[in-house]
Amino acid sequence: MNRLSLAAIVLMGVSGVLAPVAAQSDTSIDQFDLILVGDQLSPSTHQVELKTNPTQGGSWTSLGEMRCGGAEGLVVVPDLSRSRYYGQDRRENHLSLRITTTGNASQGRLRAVYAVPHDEWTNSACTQLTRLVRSDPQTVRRHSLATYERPRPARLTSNEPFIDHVEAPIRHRRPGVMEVEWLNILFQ
Amino acid sequence: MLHHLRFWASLLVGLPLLLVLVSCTRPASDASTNETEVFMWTGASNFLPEDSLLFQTQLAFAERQGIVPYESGIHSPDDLRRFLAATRRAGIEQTWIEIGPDNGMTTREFATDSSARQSTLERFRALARTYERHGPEAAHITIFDEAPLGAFTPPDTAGYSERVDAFREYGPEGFALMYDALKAEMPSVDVGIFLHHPHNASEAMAGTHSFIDDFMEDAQALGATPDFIYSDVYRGYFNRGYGVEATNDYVTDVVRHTKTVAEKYDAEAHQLGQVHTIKLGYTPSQRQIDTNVRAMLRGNPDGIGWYWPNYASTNYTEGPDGTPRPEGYDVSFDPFVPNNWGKTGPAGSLFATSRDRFVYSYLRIQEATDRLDPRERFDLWLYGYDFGHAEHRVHVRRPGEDDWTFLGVVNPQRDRDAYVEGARPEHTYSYEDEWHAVVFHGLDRTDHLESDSLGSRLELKITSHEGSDTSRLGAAYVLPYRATRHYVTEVKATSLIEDQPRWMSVNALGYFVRPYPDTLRPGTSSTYELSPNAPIDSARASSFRDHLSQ
Repeated sequence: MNRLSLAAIVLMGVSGVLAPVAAQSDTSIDQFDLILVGDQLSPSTHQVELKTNPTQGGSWTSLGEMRCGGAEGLVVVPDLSRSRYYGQDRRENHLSLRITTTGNASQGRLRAVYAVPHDEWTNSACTQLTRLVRSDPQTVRRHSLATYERPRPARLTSNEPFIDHVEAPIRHRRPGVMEVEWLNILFQ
Repeated sequence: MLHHLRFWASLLVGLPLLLVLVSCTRPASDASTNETEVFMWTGASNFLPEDSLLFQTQLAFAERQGIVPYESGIHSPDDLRRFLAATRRAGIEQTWIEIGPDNGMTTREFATDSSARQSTLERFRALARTYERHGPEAAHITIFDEAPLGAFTPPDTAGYSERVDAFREYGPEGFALMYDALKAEMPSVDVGIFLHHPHNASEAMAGTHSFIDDFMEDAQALGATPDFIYSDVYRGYFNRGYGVEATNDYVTDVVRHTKTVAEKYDAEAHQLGQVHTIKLGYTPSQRQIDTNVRAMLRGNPDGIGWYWPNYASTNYTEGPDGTPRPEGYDVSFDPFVPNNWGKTGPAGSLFATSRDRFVYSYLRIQEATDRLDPRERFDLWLYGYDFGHAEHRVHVRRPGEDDWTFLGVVNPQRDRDAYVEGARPEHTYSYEDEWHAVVFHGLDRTDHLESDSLGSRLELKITSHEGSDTSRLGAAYVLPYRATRHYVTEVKATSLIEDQPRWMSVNALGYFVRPYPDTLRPGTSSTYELSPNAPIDSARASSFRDHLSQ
């Protein structure tokens, strides 16, 4: 490991002074809503957490309020800060998700997670969202900042928390150029 | 100065002409960038009466890979017409058949008795006329099958040495008569000789049993020089007794010697290898398939391919009351694990019973002969529930194009009685009542994908037949082609999709996932678009509201 990369890691780990950077995505989207799709998901039995980015200490943060709880098969956690939760490294390419099942509940299953631009979730919107994730999930994916989809659902149990990344696409033609841009931000 | 002007003027005129000439002489497809021909024994005569979906799928694979279908079960012109019609429907214009004399006569009788051979020669002429009328781009006819084994009918009392002696004396004359009959009706056809491999091996390896050189000399003297020499070695008969390396050396020797002899007569040499389960119950491992390809290519053949059926294809035999009963042998059809030695059963196609081994073996040849550039290919993975026998037809196209390309049916795995439903579900690609992946390997990016820096888009159509019992589709992925050294069986693909969904979406060129699987309804077609993930922008962010307010 060279001196520069070592310095970068040290800075990333302890300085806490660098803001995450958007990579080929629209930075005007500051707030997002997290949609969890599955079976028997409930705020009372499933604690949903996102990891804050390193500038906030990198800790798991419990998400409180949920919407669309009455809609079949999904819940929405609204109005989350992009700068707070987006990215565990300087490439800003994912949300880190943890779901802890409490008590004896063992029936919950997770099918998909979408991070969509913040909106108001009326009953009607929740119903429409339920229809979309069942019949046209491609549309939800296409309008998401980040996505996690499973063709077979993950079983949520109280034995161990479910942890995975909700990926945000940042593909580009010139990885070398982008890397230098990231490093420029890191060392500014 | 004038010379310079002339030079540049001629260059300006000549360069476009040169480019046109170069473009005209380029191979028709990447499949022909290497001159090694690849052929595929099809077992067509077992499938054609029903024009089976399995056979259509096998031919679609051959067409995509530029592989020549080879059929040894042709007897009558009707057989040939069915075979040629099926290959033409699949877009294949180069074919190969293998034929032999009628049963019931010795080599000597055929060569010396004009009335005895009349029926055979009339049939040969009729076959050649049928082939000629079809107008193929290229036609090959092999005469005999491991002669003197698959050739004439010897006396019951004849041992192998006597059969060889008779064939060496009268075989060239018999061959010449058949050769002339075929060439008279179809001058463009390539006609070749297929001897049993010890007779194609070098004298250093096979001693006095080697006689292909003598045969070619005799045939030439009769004005019937074969256009090619055909040979086969099924390593399973030797691997156990002689070991891997000695077997490889033998394979190479047979190929090298036939090639050396063939070149003396301006002929070609073709070699057939083994990836099927032979009658002794032996199946080559992945490594042995690789080494077999290398061993064949070391001999510098003009063409190579694999035989078509698995023997020991069932662990069942007919009991006293006529019903199947288990034999108790552990006959594994794991694609890459050698089977235990076991009892033979009725044969069924490799494609049906060991599809991963079939696909792997041909792709291994394609890569080893530079007929396939991994950068230009992709794999299509489908994942669903209850993908039973041939319930769904799969088509793909580039987004925006009108025509669909047929890739095959999902999981065809039954073709003969040995594979009737329930006969031995533990040994088939059943996929009944379970979630499983089905993979189409080595598809052409140029033909099917619309690509940009984010990834690729593909349209997928799945048509379910009326008798389908409501399968479900959970996901489809366009993945970069995995070279055979990283080959993933359908079992492994299933576990990757189920256990690593994030890995799948990140590594796919394009995909779709249905968190709630889509039902494939009987008698209908469903279409899907596979696309890459793209970073969202403001316009798309705001348009999501429109979808929620509808």
